[in-house]
Amino acid sequence: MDVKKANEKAQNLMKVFGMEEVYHSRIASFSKRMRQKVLIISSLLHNPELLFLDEPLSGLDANSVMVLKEILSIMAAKGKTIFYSSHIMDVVEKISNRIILINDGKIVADGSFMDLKEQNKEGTLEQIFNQLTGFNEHKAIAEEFVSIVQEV
Amino acid sequence: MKDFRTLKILDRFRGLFERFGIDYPVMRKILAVKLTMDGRGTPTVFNQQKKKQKPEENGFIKSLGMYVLISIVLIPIVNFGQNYLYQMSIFFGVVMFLVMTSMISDFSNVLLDVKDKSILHTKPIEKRTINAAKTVHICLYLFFLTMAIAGIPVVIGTVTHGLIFLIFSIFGLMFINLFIVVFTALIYNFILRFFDGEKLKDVINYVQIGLSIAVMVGYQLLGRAFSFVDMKITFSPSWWHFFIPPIWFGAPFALYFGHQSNKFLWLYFLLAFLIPVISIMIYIRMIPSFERNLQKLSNHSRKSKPRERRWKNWLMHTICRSREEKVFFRFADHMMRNEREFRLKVYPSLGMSLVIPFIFIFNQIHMTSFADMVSTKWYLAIYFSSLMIPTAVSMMKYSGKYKGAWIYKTAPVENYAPLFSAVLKVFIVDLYLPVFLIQSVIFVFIFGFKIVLDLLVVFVASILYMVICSRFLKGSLPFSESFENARQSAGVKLIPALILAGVFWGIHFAVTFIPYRVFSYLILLLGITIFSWKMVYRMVWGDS
Repeated sequence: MDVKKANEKAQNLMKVFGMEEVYHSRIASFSKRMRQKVLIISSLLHNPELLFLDEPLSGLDANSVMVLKEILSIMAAKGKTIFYSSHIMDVVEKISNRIILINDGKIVADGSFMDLKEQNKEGTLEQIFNQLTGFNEHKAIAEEFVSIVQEV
Repeated sequence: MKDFRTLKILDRFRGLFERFGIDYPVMRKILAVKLTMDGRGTPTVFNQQKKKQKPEENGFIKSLGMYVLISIVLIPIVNFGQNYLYQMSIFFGVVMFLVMTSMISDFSNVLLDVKDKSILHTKPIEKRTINAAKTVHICLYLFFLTMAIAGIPVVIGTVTHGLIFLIFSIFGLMFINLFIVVFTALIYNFILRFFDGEKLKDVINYVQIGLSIAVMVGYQLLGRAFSFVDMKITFSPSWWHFFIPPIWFGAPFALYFGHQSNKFLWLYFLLAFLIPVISIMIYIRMIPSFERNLQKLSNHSRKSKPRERRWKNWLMHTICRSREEKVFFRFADHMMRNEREFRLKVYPSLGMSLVIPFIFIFNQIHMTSFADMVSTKWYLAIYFSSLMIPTAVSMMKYSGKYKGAWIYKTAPVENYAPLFSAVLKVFIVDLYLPVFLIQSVIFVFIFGFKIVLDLLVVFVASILYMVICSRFLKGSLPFSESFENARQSAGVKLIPALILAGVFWGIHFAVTFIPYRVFSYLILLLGITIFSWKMVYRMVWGDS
């Protein structure tokens, strides 16, 4: 892509994200949220067909999260392939066409959310994940943690 | 945590700190953490696996060896001869010069550090203690530095001149160090008061660069203060000597050992004592406001202006052929102009190389006359400015933001040859050319148009010289290593490069004796440069 075009495009995208007045500032002076937006813009600038995102929502405020989720679903609808990794299960549940759960480096489940629900008879993706990984002592661990903190 | 020997020695002065209301155990803990942090090396992004696990050691302490070498030169200056004012002024001048440059470029960050604020200020520690820790931290390093530079000469001087010499030197050096720390702090305080946010950081950067140049030029002035007449050094005091601190500190030696006594010497002596004491008093007064203003460093003002540089765009399209090279050219251009730490390390040597040829020329005018000088080949003094090339080129591989070097690995390029050639082209355009052009204009003004051809030769020779110096970049990509690593490796490696500059000068000098051959030499040099650029592009840069 030509410099001029890239520059214009980036500037427009920054404007959409409400950051046009810091376009010429140093990234070092940005907050976590602003940096995350810059990263998202720079990954999309060349209009890629295939996209890998690792926790793209981290650091964003609630409104920007909604915007980004919408961006991802529109792009997916337009035929782009998006790989998306996250630990926040309810987001994954809502925006993914196909979910792969990985535990200890091994794939433990693969399919759409509906498929997974049918296979595991649990309500939410979080619960499915817990069930598949055989993790059910979260309460006990939490209680132990608090008791150590409080020294009782 | 390791118990530092330095801190054990510091324990002896515990009472002194406590008298100033400092919580000594807390300060000691803060210092121990700071020293441990300094000992941690900064791994480079790409050759992490190359380095073996080494025990923690301080890079700064390791770099002191260089200074010990320099100090050997000082031994005769201190010990032989009877002109105490001259000798001791030179001695203190060298010490001040080295300590000051080191203070500005290496320890300013410590002085201006706001990182520990979020950790320390939330704890019930008095600001006074935090500040003391900061100051002691800097002073420890300055102490080591001063010891490395002055240690051997002072010991040998004591043997020849006696114990009084030792006492005078210790007090002199102590006051000099105090003066330097306080002086830089005062300057920073002054800037902090008037600027804010990103602008502040830029101004600090420019002041640091300006100070470094001023120190270098001042060091040259010191030599001018004494004139050599019939091989005897005479000194006639005049008003501007009051602005050259090393002379103040040289005065007590002249008074005591030289048995000289005039009112100027006493005045210098008085200044040597009074100025540091007064500045410390002002400094202590100012600490609270300094701390408050320091907070401004973490503010972010949100104004900045874009600048479009038409001519640079045009230049880029003319001198860069491939697309990759253009991209890297733009990248390197941004890095060299915007990265503050890089500017701080490289720009002072640019300023210096701008000034040096003129210092030599003024010297020459001083010795003979202007009319005589113009008819000589002194215009070749412009070669002195190319002495900055090896230093600057070897700095290209460092950056304050070296961690961003992952970008090279993600960039879709086959080899890094365009990167290296773009970086060198930016170096010529951004750094070398401005200096060279200014000098050329002034030189043509002094020597007349007859030297234009010679100046072209110098320019081409400098490019060839730079290509040869690009060897220093081998093994790492531009801007991919921390400046911390630079301190350890600089110095000795550059000596062959400096000799090479002499060779270029010598050939050019010889050629000027053959009439009408300068032009042929220019063509020949141009051919060699183009050929070697192409060869280095393919053979050296291509496979790193």
